[in-house]
Amino acid sequence: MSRQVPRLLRGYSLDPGFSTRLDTVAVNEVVYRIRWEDPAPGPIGDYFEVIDFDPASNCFYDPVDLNSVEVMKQNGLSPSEGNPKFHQQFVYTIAMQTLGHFEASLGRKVLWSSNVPPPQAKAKKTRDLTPEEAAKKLEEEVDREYVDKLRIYPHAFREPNAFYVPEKKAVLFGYFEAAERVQGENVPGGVIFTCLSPDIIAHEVTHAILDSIHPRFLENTNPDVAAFHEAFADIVALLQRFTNTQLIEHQIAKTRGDLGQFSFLGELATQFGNALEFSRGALRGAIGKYDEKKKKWVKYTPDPQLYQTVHEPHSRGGILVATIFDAFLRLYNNNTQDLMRIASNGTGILQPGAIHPDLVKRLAESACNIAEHLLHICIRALDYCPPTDINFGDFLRALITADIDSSPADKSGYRIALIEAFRSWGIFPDRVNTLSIEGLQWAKPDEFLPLEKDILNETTRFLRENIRPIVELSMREGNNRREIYKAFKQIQRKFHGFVFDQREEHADEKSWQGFLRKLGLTDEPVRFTYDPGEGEKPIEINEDTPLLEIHKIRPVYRVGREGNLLEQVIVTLSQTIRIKKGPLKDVRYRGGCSLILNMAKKDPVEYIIYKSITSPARFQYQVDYQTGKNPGFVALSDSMYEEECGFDNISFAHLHFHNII
Amino acid sequence: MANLSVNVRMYHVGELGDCFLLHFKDGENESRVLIDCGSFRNSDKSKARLNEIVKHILSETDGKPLDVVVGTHQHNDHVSGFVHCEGQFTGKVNQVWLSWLDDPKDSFARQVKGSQRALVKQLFDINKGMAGLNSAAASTVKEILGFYGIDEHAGPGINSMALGAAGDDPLVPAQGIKVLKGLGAKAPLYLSPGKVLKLPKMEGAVKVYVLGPPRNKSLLFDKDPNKQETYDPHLAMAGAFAGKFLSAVNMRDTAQALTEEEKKAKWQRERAEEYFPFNRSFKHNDVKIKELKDRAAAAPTKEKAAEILAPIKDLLAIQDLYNKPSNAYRKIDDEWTEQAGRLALYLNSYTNNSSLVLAFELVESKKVLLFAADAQTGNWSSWDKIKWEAVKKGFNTRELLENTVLYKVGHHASHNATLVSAFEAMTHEDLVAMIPVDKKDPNIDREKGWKMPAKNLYTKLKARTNFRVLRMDDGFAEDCDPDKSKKSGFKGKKLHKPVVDKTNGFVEYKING
Repeated sequence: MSRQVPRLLRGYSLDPGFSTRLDTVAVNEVVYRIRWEDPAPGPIGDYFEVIDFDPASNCFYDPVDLNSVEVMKQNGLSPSEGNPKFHQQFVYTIAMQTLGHFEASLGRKVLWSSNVPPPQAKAKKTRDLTPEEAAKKLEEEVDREYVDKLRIYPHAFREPNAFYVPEKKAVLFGYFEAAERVQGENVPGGVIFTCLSPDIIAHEVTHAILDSIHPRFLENTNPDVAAFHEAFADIVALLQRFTNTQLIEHQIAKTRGDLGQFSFLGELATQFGNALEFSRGALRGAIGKYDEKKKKWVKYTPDPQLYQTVHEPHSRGGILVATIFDAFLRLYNNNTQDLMRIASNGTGILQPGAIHPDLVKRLAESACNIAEHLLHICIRALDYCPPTDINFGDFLRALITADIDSSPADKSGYRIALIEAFRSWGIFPDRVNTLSIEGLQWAKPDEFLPLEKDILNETTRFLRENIRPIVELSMREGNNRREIYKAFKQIQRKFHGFVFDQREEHADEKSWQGFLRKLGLTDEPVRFTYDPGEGEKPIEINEDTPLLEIHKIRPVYRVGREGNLLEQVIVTLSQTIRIKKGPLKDVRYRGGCSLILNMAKKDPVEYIIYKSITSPARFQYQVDYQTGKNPGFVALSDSMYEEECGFDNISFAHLHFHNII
Repeated sequence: MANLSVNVRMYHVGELGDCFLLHFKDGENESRVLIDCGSFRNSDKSKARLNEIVKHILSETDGKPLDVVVGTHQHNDHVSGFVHCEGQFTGKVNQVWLSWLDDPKDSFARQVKGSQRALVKQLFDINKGMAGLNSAAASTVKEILGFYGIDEHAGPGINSMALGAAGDDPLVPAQGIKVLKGLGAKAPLYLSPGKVLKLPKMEGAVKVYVLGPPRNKSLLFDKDPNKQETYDPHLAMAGAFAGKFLSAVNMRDTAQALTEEEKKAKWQRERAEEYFPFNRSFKHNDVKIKELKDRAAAAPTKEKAAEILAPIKDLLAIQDLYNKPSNAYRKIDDEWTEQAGRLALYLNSYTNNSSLVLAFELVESKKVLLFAADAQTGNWSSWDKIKWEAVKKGFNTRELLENTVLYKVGHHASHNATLVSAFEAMTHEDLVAMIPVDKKDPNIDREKGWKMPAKNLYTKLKARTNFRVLRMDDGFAEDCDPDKSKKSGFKGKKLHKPVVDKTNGFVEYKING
């Protein structure tokens, strides 16, 4: 990845509301350092295109030219609510910052989710084509599907809402009039722009990036999926804030180093929250929130019951956010004990009054380090998540496994802190006997039969030969993501042929089916008996052998916390059943796995993270949930135009609106 | 006492709508309660249908008045009949029951109603303003305003009437409530949750529990020292958003022939828009861009033309990118109008939540008839916290649900009007459900129509009632007719067989107390 000088751009560290408070004005304006690129006016860069069209006001706003002298000479336009050009600059800044964190942690370039659902691979057909025809077809497909830039509309509508629209590959931000009453730092009736809140921008861009990695996390298959999308977006937005040392030092000085007290660090979208008529303070809090009864901010106490009883996606997501910040606080408190003792003559109890600026610095450094690592662990864990039907327990296992890979020794206790936090918030993974690191790490398969080992070794050999060009492309500077996308498609196709061959070779053998089962897949028709409960007759499901889809092949190069280098290939395989008739019409049930292969090892398979397509229990659970039988079902839309069912994809527009009025 | 019985009759109003007659009998004593009388539209056909129904209802009373008439909430499909059949009702009603929200002496209620009325008015204006926009939201708004008396089938006359005079309630539903207030021989009763009444003429035998609409003052945020009263911040916000949306819609409205007053309003809006959200100097609309382009086209030299266009060069590039055909799927021309649909749905839910919910208890057997009107989640979820007056210690709402033997399904069985946890509590083995739904209603009988009854709820209702679900249109729900289906829970046993009277258009079910 490019190591050029960064571009410096000014912006808000919290949101415009803090620029009118004496205590925060000094830290609210910061200079962001983002990756250098050469954007056209818009800004239109390699990853994002900001188009400032305001359809409600029926006008376009002049685009900002980041390369113009007036902008360059002063590190970007100065923060201003009244100048749309600054708004464009700011959404671009935060979007780039967020993207930067993802690319650094994932060790590869982000490719936006493609414009069409991945086509059903038809290995045979492709084979029948002549090479020229195939090449032409591929080129056409790439043209149609590949999305180079995520579009950003900073002023898309007049609502207190902002959302990512997967079908448009666009993030839409709204603006609105604040409440007429004085609340917090609001100007009553003033204009609030969601595109000026770094939290909201990071949140929405994270939705888009998460969708690019896991497009199937938009499918509402269990109560955790929508909640996970929300939680993950909040986690990234909040942890990202810790890259701003100045702000952290300020808040640490203010809380005398005790981050369990109220600070702005855990508060999300404060200006936005204050602007809503019914609200007090931030939109959401990660560490605590305003208590209506006690009339003050109160730190959360972990409550293991909540995960069982709270189902509305934002609130449920809030549990995961609180859990990650619980881990953060545990780590922070643990890692700064020594500093506190040094500063207090060994008592650990600080003298009243302000703490020493040097101590502030050291504490802030600690907090920032921990936050950065946590952010990276969380992002890396995405590669260790199952490709479909995620739940919080899966995420814990992904976190632990990802961290073991990147930091085998874990001297600072990240994994223990995470486990403690998850335990105290009542989030337990399925089918895990002990909450130990070994128990939580995704299973390393060791029970492969010799023949299966052969297939896997063949697979690795195939990938090793074919993935090279992509690795080289990925290392190259500049925007060659279209080429990478095309190369992926090529290898995906080739790999499909390869798997097909393997199958032909082993078709007679029962072991092929056995092998697929270990990957959560099947080579046989799928049969289930669904019990609708309430004394109704069971429903027989009998579907043809689902098509095997090579969903993704991604090489990964990354440096761990302890400086170790990791070279892996992630292959995602999946199968889908679509029920076309009968009482369960429209149910879409998927299974498959993320296969993590280590190219450097003789025994290449590191993990198989799967959700089995043949699991009747999971099928029963999913359908129960989607048909509203599970009390945890929350209809994502409150309208009589909708059925009360979860077959539709998650819509962020509805999801976010729901929380407001 | 042992002879107490109640016949519950669901009249077929021919489209979406509620009209329920409860006829309680106990030996010589009898008491009639009419809950709602309305249908979605105000066409001549709708009016005629309602008039026939009312005639039939009154023909059976031997000239005696109805003992109680209940108006649950101010939606056309629940109260239009009181307007269209006012003449028939006059002098035939002993007492009217309405919710506390209709109480003219209740200042809190007046505030709620006032803001709600303002939002309705705004949405009527939005509907008018959006007529020219090709937006899916526009049809949502129009359809939902049907609940408030707008009616495209009735011709322009009634639509302008529906708006009423400036600042007035939409005519028909509001008029319905107004008529109701004057119908009774006795003064109307305004009911709040927690109240327990004795049913007139059945004092010892039947009790009526009021469950909703919630009167939730704790929603008030009163901790601000300089508090400015808004009784419901969410509603106030919806109003504010509708205001800004309306302003945007109206800016596009180039309708000519404005009255002086309209002109003034337009002028004010334009002034406000000039600075919202940015100063107008930042705004480049098509007119402004075209002006420059025209000037450039008329310029004597190419250099001159380029000079003229220089200030908007970047802007034109962005505009081209936006309009590029291959990017068509990423355009957002109409996204902003979807807010109107959301606001309309919000208003609709709000009014539904203002439904008067009553539970009739047959005291001796403890059996309960639950009439949920159109209550949605907000209303249902407040029931657990009701402080009941004059009840035995330990009594709670759950008990009413557990003893429910007849459930009038909320909001024509849309998915969000039967709270799952409350429904789970309805465990009585005799449970019967009645759904006032007409599958031929144009809003239901079409692609992307209203999902009434909602699939999953419908399945659950049938399963929970052991296939004892009655529908307004077909009489029996599928598999529930004892003559046709073995599954039907109406077969045998001690329950009465429901009567489907096609001639007079009703479904009747009898419960013994």
